[in-house]
Amino acid sequence: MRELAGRAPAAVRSVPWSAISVVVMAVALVVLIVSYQPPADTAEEIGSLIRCPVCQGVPISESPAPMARDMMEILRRELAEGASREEAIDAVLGAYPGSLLLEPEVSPTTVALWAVPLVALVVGAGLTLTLRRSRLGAVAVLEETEARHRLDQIRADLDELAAQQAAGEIDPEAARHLRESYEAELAETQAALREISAASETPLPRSTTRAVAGTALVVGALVVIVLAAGAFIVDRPGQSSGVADVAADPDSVSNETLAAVIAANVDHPQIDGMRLALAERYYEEGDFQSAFPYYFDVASSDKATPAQAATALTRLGWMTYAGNGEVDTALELLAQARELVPDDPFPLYLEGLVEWCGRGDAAAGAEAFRQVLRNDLGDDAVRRQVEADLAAAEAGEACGS
Amino acid sequence: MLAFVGLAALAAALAGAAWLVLAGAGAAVALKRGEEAGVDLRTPALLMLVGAVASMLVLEAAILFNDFSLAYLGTNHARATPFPFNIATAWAALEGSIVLWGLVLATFTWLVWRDHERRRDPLSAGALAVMGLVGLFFFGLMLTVANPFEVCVEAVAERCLASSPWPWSAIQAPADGPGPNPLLQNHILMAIHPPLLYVGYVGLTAPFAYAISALALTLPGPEWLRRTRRWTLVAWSFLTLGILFGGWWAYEVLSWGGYWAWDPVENASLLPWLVATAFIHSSLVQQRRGMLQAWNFVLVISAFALTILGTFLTRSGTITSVHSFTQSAIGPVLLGFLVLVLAGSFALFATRSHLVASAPRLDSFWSREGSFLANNLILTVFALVVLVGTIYPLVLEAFTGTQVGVGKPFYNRLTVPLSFALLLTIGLGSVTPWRHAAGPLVWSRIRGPLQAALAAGLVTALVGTRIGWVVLSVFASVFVIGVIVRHLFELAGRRSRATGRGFFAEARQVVTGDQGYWAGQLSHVGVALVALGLAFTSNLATHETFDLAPGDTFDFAGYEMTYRAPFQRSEPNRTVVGANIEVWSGQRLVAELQPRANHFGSDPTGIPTPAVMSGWRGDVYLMLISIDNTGIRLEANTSPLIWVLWLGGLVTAAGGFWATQVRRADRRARVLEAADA
Repeated sequence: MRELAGRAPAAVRSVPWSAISVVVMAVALVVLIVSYQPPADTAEEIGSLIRCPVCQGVPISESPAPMARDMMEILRRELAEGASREEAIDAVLGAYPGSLLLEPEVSPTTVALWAVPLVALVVGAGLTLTLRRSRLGAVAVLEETEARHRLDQIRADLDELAAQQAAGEIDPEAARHLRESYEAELAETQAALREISAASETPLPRSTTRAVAGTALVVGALVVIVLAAGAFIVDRPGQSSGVADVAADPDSVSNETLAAVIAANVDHPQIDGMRLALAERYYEEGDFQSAFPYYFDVASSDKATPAQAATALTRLGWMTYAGNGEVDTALELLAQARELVPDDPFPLYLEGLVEWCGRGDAAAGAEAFRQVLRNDLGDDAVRRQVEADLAAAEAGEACGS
Repeated sequence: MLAFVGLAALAAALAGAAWLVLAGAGAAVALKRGEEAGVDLRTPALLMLVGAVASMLVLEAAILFNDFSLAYLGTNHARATPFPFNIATAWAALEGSIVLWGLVLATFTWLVWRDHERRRDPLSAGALAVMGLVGLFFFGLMLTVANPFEVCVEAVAERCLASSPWPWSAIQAPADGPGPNPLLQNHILMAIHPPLLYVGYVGLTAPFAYAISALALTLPGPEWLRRTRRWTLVAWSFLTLGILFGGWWAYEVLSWGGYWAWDPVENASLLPWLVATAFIHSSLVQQRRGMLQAWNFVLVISAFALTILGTFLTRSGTITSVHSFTQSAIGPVLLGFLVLVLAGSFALFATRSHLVASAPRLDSFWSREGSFLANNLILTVFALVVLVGTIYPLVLEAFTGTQVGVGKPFYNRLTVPLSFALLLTIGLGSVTPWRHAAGPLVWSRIRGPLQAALAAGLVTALVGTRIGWVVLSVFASVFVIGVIVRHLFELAGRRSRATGRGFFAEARQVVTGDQGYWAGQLSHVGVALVALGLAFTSNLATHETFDLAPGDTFDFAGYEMTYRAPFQRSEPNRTVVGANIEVWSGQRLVAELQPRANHFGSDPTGIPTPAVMSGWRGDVYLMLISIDNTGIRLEANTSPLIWVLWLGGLVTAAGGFWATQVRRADRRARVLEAADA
């Protein structure tokens, strides 16, 4: 402390006052922050927790996608009607299957997501504890090069310690303590080095052989990868596909390519398959506007198979209702689809939904659902869904509740 | 014709890489034994460089001369694409971006060769071999699954439909192409952001190469760290700029008012940055105190592996985004390379573990090295949060089919507290002495800044906002910047009193005398500014939606705005439809803003492009949701103090660039001092 004496009195005297001022200000700050009542949840805040089915990781409050904007509308309406935060979230998630919370709740499937960072923090903190010099000196030195590095390091430490003490960064008492431990380490390392020199057989040739063998191994593996990559080129799917390939497998190319191919080959015999594939993709992306003309072309094409035309009509019907709210047109289109494929219960199911949800006619909806259930629906989940809808419609509930 | 030349250039680069692997390994082993190397490493390194430069030039030439016989152009270029977007088309899609990667890699390899030329030691020869290995992979990639010089063999009017890798195939070229992805030609930043990021990514190969060389040749010790510090800093600085410009681009182009969405693609660029930041600090601990040797190897291998992982995530189509291109076989190949890098590096590391263990020599946790340990712990956990958040949903869906959403709320909950811990560590660590910190000394260095920071926090809470994160960020940023500025003043004042010379002359002397330290502090100031900007923009932004007919007036952000009229104009590659909005402050016309949608080609929906008015209080950000004859729907946002965020990013990178010049500057200072004496 003696070397700091020139500046110490002022510092020591002012410590209580500055410490008190710091504590007082810190307490005031904490009180101000903690006592702050944030305004009630806005739609934007809640929307920032939800992801729409077609968005990539962006919450609905920030996504420009039409579907996200619709979901925000639902959210605003729910909040305006006095729904709580949880109720509003449930309403949005329920209305758009496939939408998700952006912060998963802790559950068996997500526990690892939360556990990994926390465990890493604890383990990492534990590991840093082991870096503390446990006693004077160091662990046993194994190799000569390492011992020499260690010696250099300790000498540099001693020099820097002297410089730090001269600059007043370390008080003499602490410096003396550190110097003693460095000097003990120095002596120990020098002793270890003498021992190594006495027994000196460095396994240099072996390690060189290993280095070469290792390099050869890595080169070999890399060559294998490059060759494997080369093999891909022979039967590579995707990108290098002509009209015939696109027609056979429309899913192998991007939307834009498919659109270009369709525009350039309207007379191709498989044109309706391609149109339908593209329309389905837009439909699944929620981009009804882009999907519409392609479905329309398929529905009015004389080359389309009945199944293709029926799919297109079904989709058109549903989009007419879901996108524009036109109940009558939707029912007409769905009925046309049903005529083309009388064995497929799906258009009928949608008809039921439109009757029930669009027209508010629960009885007509229930009748349609009952007819649907007479068919073989294949998938149990589908059957359960229809049964649930039927039960709700029979109970006279409003659709979607 | 160009396809032949391009493929020949790639083949030359590949041959150079292969040659470099063998010659480098041979030279390294010979030099390690103490023999003369007797091998020429210049020719293979030069061959790789010339091949890479030539392949890039060929691609650019094809674009400039509209040679649509190349399939790459037939899917990514259009005659109407204006300068400089046509130049940038060369890296606007998968194959071309790998060409850029190869060019940067070959350039760094050449720089490593120059280091080898100076020292003639086994470490650098081995590093050249590793650079060659990485080159072998990437040039191999370009000659197989990501061939930029495939020729078009089937075309419609404006698009190439089918391509062939054999340049002698019967060529059928389209008359024109569709142009690059509209999002990528909507803003000039898109021409700059990828090269910056690539220099950052690929730059991390050099430290990785030296680390692998040191492990393989059993040359432990701090030598490889000293030799690669400059490259690490170059890579880190470019990575910082790349991330910054990426966020800036998203803000100016993507029209959602934000700059960071925790999108997997953004995360892929953040991950190597976090790990490289940890490495920059932990390597100092090894150089000064001989600790953390093994940890430094782990960090540098991880940083390199994360650049490959990032490339895999963004380029393979595993994640759909503007960065992933149409399906190709590149995904499995990159994944294979990643596995090989990880398995090979860590296997090598394991066989050398007895060499890389370093003794526990920490004298006290209350020391500079203690703060670096805290910094490494925080940054590593931060990186793990981002990594797990990015990968977990993919893995879970692949194995169980279950979808989970991991987004902003998850990341914020975990990373915001970590960031504040990091800021406090920066403030404390910057003025804590090495080895052992005496309480009174540290207190005297942080007391004033702490009071100032608390006062600033109180003022914010009393007259501004009481939102916790904003107040805390003001407190933390003022603390960090205050500590650094105070320290400079103290050192300069002390010297000035001792020598009697002017304060500012002495301040300059202090800074030039220890440039490495002060460059680091400049970056810290930048980080504090970024924290401030992040807190303000993410907590205090406001937004409102307006439905307006021509002539309507609305109030927003203290301005009176009037929607005058819609407009439409044609530009070479696009049609622009937008709205003229006048911004009035009282009787004064402040600005005329034009939020708009850019329609590229026949695209009916258009790319919405915001209009941004910047001021010292922040930005007013208008975007057009819809427009028709009767009116518009407009979304208006404020981004308070967003310029602090951009400035902070630039300052952070500037600190990094300054640090790269340090060794040279120090040498010059020593020469001048000697001359004085």
